[in-house]
Amino acid sequence: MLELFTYGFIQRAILTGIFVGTACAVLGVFLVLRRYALIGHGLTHVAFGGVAVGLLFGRQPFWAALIVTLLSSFGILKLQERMKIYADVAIGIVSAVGMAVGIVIASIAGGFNVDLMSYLFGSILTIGMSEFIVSIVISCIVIVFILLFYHDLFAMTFDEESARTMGIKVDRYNYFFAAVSAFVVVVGMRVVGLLLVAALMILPATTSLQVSRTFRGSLIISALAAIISVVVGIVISFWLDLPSGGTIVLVNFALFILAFWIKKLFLEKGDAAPDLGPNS
Amino acid sequence: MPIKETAVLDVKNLAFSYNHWPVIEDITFSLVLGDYLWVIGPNGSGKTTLVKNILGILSPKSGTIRLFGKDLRAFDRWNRIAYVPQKIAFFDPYFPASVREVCAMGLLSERDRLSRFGADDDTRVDEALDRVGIRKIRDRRIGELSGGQLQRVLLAKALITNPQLLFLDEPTAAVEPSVREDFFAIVDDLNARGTAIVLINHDIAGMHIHNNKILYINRRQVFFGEGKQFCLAQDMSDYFGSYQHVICHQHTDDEHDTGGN
Repeated sequence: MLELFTYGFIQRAILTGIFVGTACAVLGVFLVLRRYALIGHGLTHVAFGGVAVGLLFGRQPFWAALIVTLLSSFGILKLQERMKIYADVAIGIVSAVGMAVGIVIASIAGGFNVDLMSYLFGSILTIGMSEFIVSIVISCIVIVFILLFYHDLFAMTFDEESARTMGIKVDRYNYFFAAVSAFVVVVGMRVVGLLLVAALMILPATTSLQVSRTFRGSLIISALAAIISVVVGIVISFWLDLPSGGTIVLVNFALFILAFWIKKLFLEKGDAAPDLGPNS
Repeated sequence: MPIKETAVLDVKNLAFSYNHWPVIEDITFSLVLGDYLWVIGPNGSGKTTLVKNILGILSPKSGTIRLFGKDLRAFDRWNRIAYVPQKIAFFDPYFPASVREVCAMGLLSERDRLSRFGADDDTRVDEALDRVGIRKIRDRRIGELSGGQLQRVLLAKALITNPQLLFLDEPTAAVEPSVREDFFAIVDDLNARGTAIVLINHDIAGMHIHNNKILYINRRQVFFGEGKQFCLAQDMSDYFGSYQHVICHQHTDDEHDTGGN
């Protein structure tokens, strides 16, 4: 069993998964609580379109996807601000357009459908050294930024209007969230696949929200859920010869169900305290 | 300078529109330290919109707002101001935060963006929770609290920086009368120590006439002045309706109780 961890490609896969998963999971807590849970899914559709554009012109699909996804992420914010529409609607519009662009370009160009599929599902067990380094560096940057501005991000997630009255630059942080989401999606896309990135942004966060009693605790539990699912998922996928991305998502889902039952059986008994006075 | 002469808020000809639809127009009033302003008016009259403009949450169409003598756009001493929103109605009971975490959030208005919290801050959080009588529940998840307890948490968060100007927007909506009385006893105590209070409250029946100023708006400003002047405006019943009767009736009772003239 331990012999498995001596393989270089397994070490790279696990380390990459841990860093990308932690970045997705920590960011995911903020996104889920701010009702932006679907932005990961939406941006993966856009990134798919960006990859198609890059492949069409025969160069750098990674950078094409990054630029297109970043602009689209800002576009979601602009749609909300200018047209006064709900976040989920703005995400839906942008993701539909992104996916449509990808499909149309793939259809016109033909011939690179296989490449597109590799971006869609990724392959964490076959990543190269350069992808390994880039994904770890960008994941670290995302995690460090979130930790540095933790208090401000917590305050605006709790109540955006009150955060403004404390001098917190909410609009600036909204663009920060948009940019970080785009980076995580595109980096994760190449490494673990677009579908897995979206799952890693929602499932660990939702798992943590079942059992955590504090905000800090929910970030820690979310990161732990992501790390456990990546390690266990890779091991299972290796031994049973299953697709690694899909296995990681299923382990994540199992953790979510476990957390749900822990909440049901042990944590909900003290909820909804009656108003018995100030010190009750 | 005497406490009463320190200007905390000066609003001139304020107007705000939403999609070219005027929500408030021509609002002009000012407050000094120690004032207690009661903002009243019918539903949809623009009371919350007014407060959100003053706090920079919404951008006015025209007019000027000065906080502590400084234009709102250049104002940066947010630790002197606190805001308790009308929270209960849209509060997420599943939000993962403890009472202590929410209260500590109030300290952010006096911090550099990258500063960390230390042991002194923990002490201040405990003191703020003590002031509103909920220190014992500091580790509870906020979703487990009753409406009254949650409002006290938000008040503790507002008080932690000892603000000189406190905005309360329907702070006791949907809480029981006994809880409401305890809440306003804390607010009265703050006011007695010099904090200027701006209170929006629908529930006028339970209020004492401790407010020394009244701003009545119905999209436009109808009245701004002392409570006594408001009661003397006998020919204004078309504008004030039942507000004037209820408030002034209580005002008279209050004077009898305290032996005022």
